Amino acid sequence: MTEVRSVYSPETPAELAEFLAGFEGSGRLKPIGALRNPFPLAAGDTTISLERFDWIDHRREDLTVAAGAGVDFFALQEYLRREKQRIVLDPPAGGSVGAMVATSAHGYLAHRYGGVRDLVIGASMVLGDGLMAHSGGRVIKNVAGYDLTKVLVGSRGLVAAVVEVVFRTHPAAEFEAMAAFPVVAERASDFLGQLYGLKVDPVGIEWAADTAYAIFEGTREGVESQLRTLIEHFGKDAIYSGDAFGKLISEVREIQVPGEREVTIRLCGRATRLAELFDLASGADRVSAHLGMGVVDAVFRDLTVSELEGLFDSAERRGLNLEVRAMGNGVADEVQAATVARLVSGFTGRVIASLDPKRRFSRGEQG
Amino acid sequence: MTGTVGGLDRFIEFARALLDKESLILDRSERLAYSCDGLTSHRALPAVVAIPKSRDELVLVVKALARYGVPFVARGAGTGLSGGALPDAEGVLVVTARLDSIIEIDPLSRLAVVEPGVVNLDLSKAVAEHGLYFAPDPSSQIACTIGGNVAENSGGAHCFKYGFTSNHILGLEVVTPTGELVWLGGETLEAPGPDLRGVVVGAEGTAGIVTRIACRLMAVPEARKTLISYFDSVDAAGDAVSTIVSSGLVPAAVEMMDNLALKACELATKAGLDTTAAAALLVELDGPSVEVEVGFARLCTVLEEKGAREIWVAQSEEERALMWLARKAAFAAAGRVAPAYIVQDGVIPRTALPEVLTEIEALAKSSGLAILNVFHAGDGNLHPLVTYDPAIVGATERANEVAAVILSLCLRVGGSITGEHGVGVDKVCHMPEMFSTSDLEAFSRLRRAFDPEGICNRDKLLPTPKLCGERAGSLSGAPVVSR
Ligand SMILES: Cc1cc2nc3c(=O)[nH]c(=O)nc-3n(C[C@H](O)[C@H](O)[C@H](O)COP(=O)(O)OP(=O)(O)OC[C@H]3O[C@@H](n4cnc5c(N)ncnc54)[C@H](O)[C@@H]3O)c2cc1C
Repeated sequence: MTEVRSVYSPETPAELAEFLAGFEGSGRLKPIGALRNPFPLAAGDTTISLERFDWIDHRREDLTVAAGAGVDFFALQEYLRREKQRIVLDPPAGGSVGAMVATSAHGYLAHRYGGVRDLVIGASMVLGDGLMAHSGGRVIKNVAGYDLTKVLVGSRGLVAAVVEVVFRTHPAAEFEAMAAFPVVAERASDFLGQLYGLKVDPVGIEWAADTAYAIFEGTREGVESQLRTLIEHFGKDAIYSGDAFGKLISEVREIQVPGEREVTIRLCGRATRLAELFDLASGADRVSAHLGMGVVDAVFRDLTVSELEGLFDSAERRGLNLEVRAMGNGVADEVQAATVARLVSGFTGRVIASLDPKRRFSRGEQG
Repeated sequence: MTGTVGGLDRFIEFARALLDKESLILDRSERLAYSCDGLTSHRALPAVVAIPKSRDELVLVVKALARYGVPFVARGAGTGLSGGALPDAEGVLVVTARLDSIIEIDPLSRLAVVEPGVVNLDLSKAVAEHGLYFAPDPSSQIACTIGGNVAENSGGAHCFKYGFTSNHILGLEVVTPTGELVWLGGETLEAPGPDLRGVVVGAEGTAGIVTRIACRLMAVPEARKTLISYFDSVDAAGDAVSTIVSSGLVPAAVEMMDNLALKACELATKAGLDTTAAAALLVELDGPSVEVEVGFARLCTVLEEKGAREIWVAQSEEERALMWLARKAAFAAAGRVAPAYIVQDGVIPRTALPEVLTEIEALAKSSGLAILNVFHAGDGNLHPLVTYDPAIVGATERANEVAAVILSLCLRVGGSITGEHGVGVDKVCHMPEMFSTSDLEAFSRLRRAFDPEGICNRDKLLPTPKLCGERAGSLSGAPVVSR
């Protein structure tokens, strides 16, 4: 990764706004979280570290929590766990709250609860020219004004610096368990069809290493009765709860996390097109999937820009979505730059430009 | 320049060549039928009404409007309650009601692709044979369109568990006010980059006209159990809601009605509601049957502990339907107890319920106007119905004042001026109370990205000096940043 010229670490949102309003540098501005899943930095870039935005304001009875963008997401979850609540997002790897939003990071729970876009109910941000803005708020139902928070979700820091995020919280899961079944990739759609036919209500349906996992949560009685239904249909197989559940689900999540020189690519399409998604991922080193959501994650090592462009093109030709989700250390900057260029192109690019007219957060990255 | 006579004439000439007679309404008396939506206090006569028969026609119409700089407003079924579909007197009202095809149902992917004029309930009916349904369920669902739901990010009684329209839209195609046709989002929950579909949902028809929608479908729950429990005080009912929520239960719906609302609903539906109670909660649990059984037993324990004087449990699907009929009749039922009423829509953090309800009661007393309270208690979405008699001099103004005070009250406790009906024309001048000048500037930037010429649903959603006078946004208005 290229050396960064300067790091700015404001203490308050107002200070950040003032800094941006007076900013005259020519490089890009890059909000950063814990730098675990960053996009490329170049000489002349100024990174904005939001680590000092570290407040948590939990309103337990109202089922909301506001957190500064610099709060560590897993630490926030731990805090909520002690209060018997949680944010129903289970990203495979940690990071700051701001980065979670900017990378739209979620896991299997999105099947039941939706992703980051569905659980963020308010946010404050500072735009490239120092304009402070907020939308949404502290109530779980709210349709006043444009939903600016949505523009932040998946924005990779190209739109604005996220200052604070308000999440809806849910009660902690009372009991969790999952059942594992051998399912090869080619049979994934069939498996899904059979599972849906059983009238069970999994919170997640995962797939990795020729195994499908149906994950349940709720009361012990409710979960066990659904697992019995599965066993009656598919025959006895492995059931995991307690520590064994936690351990195995971490292992499944771990598959998506890129190591040194690895890139995780997310392919999305309808569940009926899972076979095509798996086909696109066939050159990957590791593959996993959120079956119910029509998402396949493929980890490639030493992926070149032309290979990435090839993947983008074939996904586009087939009407499937492709996104670079995460990168390990040592991935060529050009691979990352190619990803950003796609994100800021076309109509999306124009919307970004309207919010950040000087394109301070996406300078030089027009697609 | 927008709204020039020349532009409109040229549009009419174009539209005459494109649309058949039924699709282009120029006759004044026919146009009158479109002069308002559900907010009947605001009216305007559209210069032209266009009712395209196909998506291609619709796209060509919008492209022409963009080309000639003619202002326009989209209209679905016209059930909106904030004046979102109020016509532009200098422009064209584009009605999507005829675009009512369900283009595709993909049960395994739990997805349906629909045109914007499909009526909300028709989609659920069409996918029922696959054991699926479309979760957003506004009380108007027998009439309102999915295009309207998208524009308003409509909610309903089951938002507490299932969220709003936005949570059930995977992708959409929109013809923007510049005449571009773009697909935003995807066909799954996941789509790369900034979530622009999420911006169009809830944009109140200011980002263009939505032409196709990929809707997420949900499995019909294996079991549903519904009850109505009665309380001797509104406070006791509110306290029961808090305990239900903090007990870890996530009911599909928690609705509350006060005594006046109970009386009105009973008059309208004869459902058998206890009209002597001070308040009632309608609570519904759904999910796998064992889960529902266990949860329901817990729910009943909580309600009894919290002083419910009677619990009516629905014993059949018909009885459940009756309970919902009574609840959903509330707006119309208010007409049984008063000659006129204002439907207010505000949101508060749920914990502020006792404080806010006490203040609303005091407002009713001091204004001499009866206020019925019926609301989505789980998510703090209030719908006070401020009743009045327009025949009494000054009563209409007083009712409007009371409705406005209720909104300020919602904001004072950290809430919002609208939970589901939208801002439209109705609340546009309340926006600076909730948002700072810089928030509003950010909103304007976003709006200009979609509509640089300002021709789409003008004078709605965002305040202008022309509409609201020089009223700057309150700089302390941002309720989010807590330090
Ligand atoms: C009795 C009653 C009960 C109600 N209950 C609820 C409720 O429980 N929850 C709730 O949220 N609302 C409720 N509403 C309000 C209303 O029904 C909803 O806002 C509904 O979504 C409006 O749909 P519509 O088709 O009637 O839209 P319209 O009223 O025709 O239009 C509403 C807005 O959508 C825009 N629009 C319409 N179609 C499109 C399109 N294709 N593309 C872009 N913009 C478009 C219009 O310009 C306008 O701004 C209720 C209304 C009534 C009368």
